[in-house]
Amino acid sequence: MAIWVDGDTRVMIQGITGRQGRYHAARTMEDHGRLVGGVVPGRGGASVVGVPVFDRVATCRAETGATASLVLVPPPAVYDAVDEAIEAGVSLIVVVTEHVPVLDSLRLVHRAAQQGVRLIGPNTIGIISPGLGKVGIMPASLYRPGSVGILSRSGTLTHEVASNLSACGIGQSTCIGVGGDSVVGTSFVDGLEQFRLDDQTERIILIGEIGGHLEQEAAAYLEQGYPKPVHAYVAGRTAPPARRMGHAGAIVDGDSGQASEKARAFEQAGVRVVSVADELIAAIKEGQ
Amino acid sequence: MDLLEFEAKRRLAQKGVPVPRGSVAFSVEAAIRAGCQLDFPLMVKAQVPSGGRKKAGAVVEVHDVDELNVHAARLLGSCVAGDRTRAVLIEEYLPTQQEIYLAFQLDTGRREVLALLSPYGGIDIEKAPEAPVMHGMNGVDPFMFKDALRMAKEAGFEGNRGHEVAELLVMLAELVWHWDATTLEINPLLHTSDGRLIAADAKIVIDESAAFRHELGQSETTISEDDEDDNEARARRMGLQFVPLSGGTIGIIAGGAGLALATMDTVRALGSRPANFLDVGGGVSREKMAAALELLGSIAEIDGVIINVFGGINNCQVMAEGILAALAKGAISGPLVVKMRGHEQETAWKILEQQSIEVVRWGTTGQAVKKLLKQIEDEANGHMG
Repeated sequence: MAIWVDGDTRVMIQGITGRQGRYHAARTMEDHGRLVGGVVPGRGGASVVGVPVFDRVATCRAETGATASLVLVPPPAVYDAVDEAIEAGVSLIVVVTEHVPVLDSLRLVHRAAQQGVRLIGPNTIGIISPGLGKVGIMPASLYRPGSVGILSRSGTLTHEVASNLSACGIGQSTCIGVGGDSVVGTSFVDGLEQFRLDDQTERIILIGEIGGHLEQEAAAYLEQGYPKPVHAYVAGRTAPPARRMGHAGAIVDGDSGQASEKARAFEQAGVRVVSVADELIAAIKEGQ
Repeated sequence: MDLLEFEAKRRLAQKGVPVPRGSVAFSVEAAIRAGCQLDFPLMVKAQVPSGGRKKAGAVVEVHDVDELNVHAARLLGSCVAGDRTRAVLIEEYLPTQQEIYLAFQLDTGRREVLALLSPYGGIDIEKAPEAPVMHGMNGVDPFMFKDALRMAKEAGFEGNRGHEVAELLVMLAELVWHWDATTLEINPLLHTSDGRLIAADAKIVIDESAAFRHELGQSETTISEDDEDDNEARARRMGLQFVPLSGGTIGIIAGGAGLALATMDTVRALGSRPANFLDVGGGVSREKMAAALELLGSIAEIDGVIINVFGGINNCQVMAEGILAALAKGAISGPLVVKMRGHEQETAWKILEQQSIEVVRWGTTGQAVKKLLKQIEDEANGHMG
């Protein structure tokens, strides 16, 4: 069954004529990602990898039946692009862009929530249900269909864990990059709620890191009881405090946000925590 | 991006928020000139981003020109909590009835900008006897005057005072969104003896991601660069996210912050120490990959380098070409392992292996680090006897 993305998802790319837009339009086509169109204000009428480009999201939806948007526009354009998609009734919006102003993200997260729109990101690789579809920039060849659900704050760590699982013959139901920013549209809890009800998902992996509150929120949610095994790795035990480690959300601020603290919260909630990412593979294999 | 007090006050004043009369001075002479435009007593305040200035003696009241001279000279160039004082703010002294705390703070856990108000101003708000009155703003539903007035009343500000505080709250709330301020703190907001509300101190932090839509002057950006060492400055100029780690010998180049952190954790778990965090990020070019290798190649403490990347938003072939370009320049000659997969992986593997570089195609990060450690050990053994 998978969550949020399945065989009916039809994707539009906002920013399809840019360098990243064109590249991932081509990769999406190769990965059978059901790309149906693109939106770039002022470039309506053009065509990229054989799909039509429109000036406006609403027109693209009307003409192509697109249900999801992959947003690949630069930071200053993200707010308007996502706002337009929400207004046009797109039900799943994935924002790949990094360095979106955090207050723009905050407003978009609430706009989306108020309109019942699933917003993933910003600063994410997106979402893939292997074998069914993807709205994202991940190389689909690293993933394969199966029963492990993955929720991750790190894009490339998702590729790492998924590809290592795939190499052992263990597939994934849906993998979601929640994103590396400090304010994102979909949290671990949001994903866990969906995985709970998904018949295809039998166990879940959470990939966290230093900074922020997503892990603690998830631990509090899981402590109330969860019907499927959850495994977790929290990156950054060796990170020094008070330094931003790459993306915006990855900073240990004073006492809060340390990897060890998050790992402890998970353990208390019955999550099986590993201290290096590779051990997740062994843990999942054991559970097979 | 932390604004210094005088920069924050300048912006507030431009928007009609009352601040004390005064001016910033970058030299003792300028400080004296600034002081002579006001009446004594005066405030002399070191302009550094750190808090706790008063306790550190970096905010003083002076009563005549001699004292002004002494303190300006003492403070200018001095170190306050690790920051160098480049300027002092010379301000009028304001006789005060009450010190109020008023702030806006992005709270990522609640996913809101919190408005905070407290009658316990002038001290560390966390040490106040009561928690401040709070109101969450989501940026979509407007912050109304009635919300502000409710806050003011709850904090004990009645009648006219309550209205004035509420008006200021609404005005500042709007500035938070307008300026992309993740922090806007007025502590203290003074209620002066002659009945005015004045922002006696102001701390504003602007979201760096929003810099493209704000004019931030030279002084507002140079201060935060003081703490960097040469390698960090070099890395930043090259667009690399780089953090040196003391005592480490294993150089790391990773695609993605999480993968970089995981690689650091794995190196440690295998008994060695990472020398650095380095995330080449998305959309990495040949030049950037080459620059990353050159940077690590120039660090003497590094015995070997692991490159751990995915061709997702990046392209393996481009990254491989960058690696070869750096090697051709002699940027690095010691142990090197490249773990790489994703878009264009076949081409990348071929060109790297043709140059006898050890490539990990499908193994784990742990396996790749082990290979690097083995290379380092072999090299060390080869030099003995």
